Amino acid sequence: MRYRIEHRTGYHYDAPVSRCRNEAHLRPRDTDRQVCVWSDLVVDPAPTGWNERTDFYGNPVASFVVDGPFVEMTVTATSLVDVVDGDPLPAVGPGWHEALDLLTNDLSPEMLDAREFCFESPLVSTAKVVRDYAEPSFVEGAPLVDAVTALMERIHADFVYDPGFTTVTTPLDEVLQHRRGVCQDFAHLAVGCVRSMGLAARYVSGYLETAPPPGEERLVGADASHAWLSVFVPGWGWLDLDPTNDKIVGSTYVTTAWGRDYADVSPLKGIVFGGGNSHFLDVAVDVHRVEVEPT
Amino acid sequence: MAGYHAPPGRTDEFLDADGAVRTRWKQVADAVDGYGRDGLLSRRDELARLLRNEGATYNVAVDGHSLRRPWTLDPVPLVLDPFEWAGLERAVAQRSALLDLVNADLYGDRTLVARGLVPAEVVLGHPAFLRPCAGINRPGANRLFLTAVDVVREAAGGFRAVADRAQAPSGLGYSLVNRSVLSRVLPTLHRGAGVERQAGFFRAIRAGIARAVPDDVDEPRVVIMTPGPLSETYFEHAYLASFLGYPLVEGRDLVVQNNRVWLRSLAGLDPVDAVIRRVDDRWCDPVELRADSLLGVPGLLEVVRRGRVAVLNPLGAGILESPALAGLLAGMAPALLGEELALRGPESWWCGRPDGLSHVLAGFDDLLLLPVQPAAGTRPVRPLLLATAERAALRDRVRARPGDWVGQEILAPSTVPTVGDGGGLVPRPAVLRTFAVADGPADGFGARDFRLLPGGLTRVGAETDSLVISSRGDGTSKDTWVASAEPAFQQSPWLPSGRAASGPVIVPELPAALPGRLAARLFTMGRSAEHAELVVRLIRTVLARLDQPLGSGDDGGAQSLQVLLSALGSASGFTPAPEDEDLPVPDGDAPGPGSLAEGVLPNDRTALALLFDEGVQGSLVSTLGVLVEAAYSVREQLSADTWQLVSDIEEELGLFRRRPPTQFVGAQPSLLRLQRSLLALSGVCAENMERDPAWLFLDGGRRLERARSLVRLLRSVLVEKRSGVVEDLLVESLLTTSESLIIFRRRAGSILHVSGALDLLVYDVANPRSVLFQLDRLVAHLAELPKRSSAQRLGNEERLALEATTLLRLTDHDRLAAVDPGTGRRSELDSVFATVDSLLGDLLDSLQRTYFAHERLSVLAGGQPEVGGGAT
Repeated sequence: MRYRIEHRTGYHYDAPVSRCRNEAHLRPRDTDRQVCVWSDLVVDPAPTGWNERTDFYGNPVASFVVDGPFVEMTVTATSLVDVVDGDPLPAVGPGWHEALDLLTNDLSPEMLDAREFCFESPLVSTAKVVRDYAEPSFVEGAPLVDAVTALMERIHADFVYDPGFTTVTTPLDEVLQHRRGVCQDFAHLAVGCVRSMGLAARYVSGYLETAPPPGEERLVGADASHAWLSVFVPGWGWLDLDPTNDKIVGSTYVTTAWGRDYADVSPLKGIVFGGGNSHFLDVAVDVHRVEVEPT
Repeated sequence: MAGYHAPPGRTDEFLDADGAVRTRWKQVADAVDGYGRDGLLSRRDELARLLRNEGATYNVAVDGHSLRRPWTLDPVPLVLDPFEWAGLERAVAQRSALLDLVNADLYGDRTLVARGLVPAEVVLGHPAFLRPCAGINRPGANRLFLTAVDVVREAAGGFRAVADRAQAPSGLGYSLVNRSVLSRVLPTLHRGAGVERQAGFFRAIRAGIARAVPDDVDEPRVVIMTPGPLSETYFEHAYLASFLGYPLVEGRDLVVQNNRVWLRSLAGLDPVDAVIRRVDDRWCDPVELRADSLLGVPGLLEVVRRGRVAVLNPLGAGILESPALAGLLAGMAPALLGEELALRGPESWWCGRPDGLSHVLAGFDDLLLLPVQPAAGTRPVRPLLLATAERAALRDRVRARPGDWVGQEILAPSTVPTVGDGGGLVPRPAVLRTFAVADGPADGFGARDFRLLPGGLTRVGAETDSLVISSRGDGTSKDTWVASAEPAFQQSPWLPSGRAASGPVIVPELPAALPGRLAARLFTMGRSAEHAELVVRLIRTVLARLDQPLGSGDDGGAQSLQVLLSALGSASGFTPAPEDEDLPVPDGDAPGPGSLAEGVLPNDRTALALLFDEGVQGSLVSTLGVLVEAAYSVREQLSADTWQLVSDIEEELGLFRRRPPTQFVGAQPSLLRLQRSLLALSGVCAENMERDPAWLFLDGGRRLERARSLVRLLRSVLVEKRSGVVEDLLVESLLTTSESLIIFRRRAGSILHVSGALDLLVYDVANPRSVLFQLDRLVAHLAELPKRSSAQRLGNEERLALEATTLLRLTDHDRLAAVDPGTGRRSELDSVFATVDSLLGDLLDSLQRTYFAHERLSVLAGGQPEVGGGAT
């Protein structure tokens, strides 16, 4: 499947900004199941400084400086990405105890890389409340894949999708208490649950192709960026799961970046000089399927 | 030292196991015996006085406020044997070399983790491991520059390392100031003991910086970055800056542009090649590290990544201070250095490993518990000293999050004789902070040599059995003497001399650029000193009136007193300019919320409030507070003489604050002392300061304030024409307050007419207290300041100052003194002075915008996924 993704972020300030310095995680990375064929990042007003590198996790990062004065800034990322379905799930796979043992004691490069995602991170706690929520899914002797699938189903069933209730920094215990949130809350919660059991899980940011309601046309810009989690299954690899939609991630999902949590991969972050006391932000995302000529 | 007894069961530095004085102490012991109890106490007092004059303080946070505590020093140094020191020196150098390699490994390939020498969680689970700092593969990047290792001598006599400081070690400045004051108080002993000098170490620091900067830089431009005057060790940031000759800056004084770091100086942007940071790494770059930090420089890390600036120590090195890592160093040494670790720490157990946890829980009461992530204010805990319930709660916390804790064997540090309250010597536990600087090329990836500061900073506990000894605690500090095997030379930190003649000759850099923030503080210091002086003068004039009989039948005295008191109110609208706002807050044109309105009765209470109420804007006490704070924040710009006066003023201020006088009479002597100190301060600034931009701002602040207060005072007193006697008394008071009465009498005789007074106080450019004298100086200062824009036209500030001058010159003293017959007011004086006042206010705002303003930073919100996509 080939997608054309346009992700536009507009900033509006109530006083002139004299300069800002930003980092963008907006260029989709290559993964086992996707290739970013083309990608373009356009900033208006034009940046006066531009650097690109890959971060600690191998995600592309663009850092740029925009000199003002300006009161509006737009960052538009346009990408073409080819995506395929992941490998079929392992029929049985390792038990979660077995995975825990390997992650704790095995020093192979693969396990060490996964260890990076076993610990608490700035936005993901593994406190007792989180583990208490996780434990019922991790049945004694259960295969890891079954345990995390069960966890995903429970989150989907127990939590209400409620935009506006949380912010990016709402802690997990509050999400747990109120049982509501949006995709990144559910991803953070699931990541925390898996890590609280000593296992490895990472936070994935990306996009999801949305289907219009039956009989209606797709609305351009009606999509949004999305977030889910990926769990390390020793001997098999990383398994992506979407607790918001209770789905194993497949070819309708495009990955932008992964990290320990949202803070590692936020689409845009930075520091503004000036700009007054408040600003508002509008984000428009359009995920569009592109027909590829057979070659 | 006959009465000194060492406690049993541990090593004493001074006495050996048989109670005999150790050989290395003989000289000190003889001298101390000679001093006697009284001699020791008087020397301790003298040290305290000298330290106060140096402004040596240690800031502690108390209830969210930063409190400046005097730094203290015990007269008896810790004496180390040169051969024993040589061994310790090698061991600390080795430990430092190891820390350096560990840092490079953790931020490189992490082979220590892959080889199982360091559990992944100890690094990857620790918030001080800064991922954006990883993978910078430039040679020399991520190499340590300066380390500090705290060592104690244990009961068996050997040294052990109890803490490693690897990101921004503190204590060097205190160590310097300790040596400086102790050698002045005990000159004969210090010279006779042949103490190893410290200067060579500071030369090595300067040489090391030169090696750490990019290759194409010939004369590195170096800054020391401080979190600011409220940070615990601000004193030594300023002290080191002036000792090493580098500008002291805050994060906001620096800016990243075109992939370089620049210092915002008065003249514009000056490039910076090396940043010696005293800011913890997580706070150094809000773009890539802590976004909520206002202490850092946005974009700093990107410049580091490109190799265009050296940050010392490298960002990320804070991870090395984790107690969990310290316990693993012995295992890492053979792998990284091919040697056994010479200086071991206490036995320790990280609870993140099951065997470590069970060991710690089993021996809980005999261990010291350390959090793996020391937060501000956390201290190691000794469970034995906790109440039963607290102890159980701590066990639960350790069990719940074992990876957050380390259990450590408790060492009993050796004791050292310390002057007790009565002058007798008492044994106190000592921790020695040693300092090591990398002393060799940084271009490779192998182990580097480290060179030590001879001795270091010794801190002693307040009690014989103190376990935790830190500068925050109640103990004191000591100088540390390593007897030199060779004769000592007088050495400067810049020029190699004597035996250290190897290596390049290093000369001080070009005069350091003045950061705008510093200029603002110097300006505030000048203004507040002037304002304080005016208030003291005025109040003393008023007090002189109160002492005089009010005259019979005619109440001229009382009436003039009332006028003066309300004038005092109107002249007290002093507000220091704000530092961190985009736009200046208007200066106190109207009387502030707490200041006096017109027409108040001259009762003691309101007038006293003008002096001693901290909440009254422009009161003497609040102005002195501003003065002292400003002086502390420009500490490194002030000479020793200047500083002495500042500390005298601070002492008077402290007295006022502790016991605000309830009557004028009692305040007189204090006010007189204060006036003398303030006068001396102004004299010392005029006589001893180089005429550089720093002085231009200090003096400019004084001139502007003096001109403006005088204009306000004259306007408030003279606009209304009063009866003859009252006006005479007022004119006399104005002249007295302006120190101009004698010259007036010489010129005009005894007739106190307003026109003559105005001539002298406004127009006489030969009178250093006249308004035009101030404005002419101000115009000259402004012309000398570096221009930000094209030099063709006048700067806005110059234009405003000239406009005020011209306005005054276009009229004259007779016209100003003329009374409007209809209203009985001096309307020309009123309108001209009102305009001059407002022009000077605009000038203040304009200076603020041009030179002092620092724009507010805010965090750019990320484009967060707000909607999660519906079902597909």
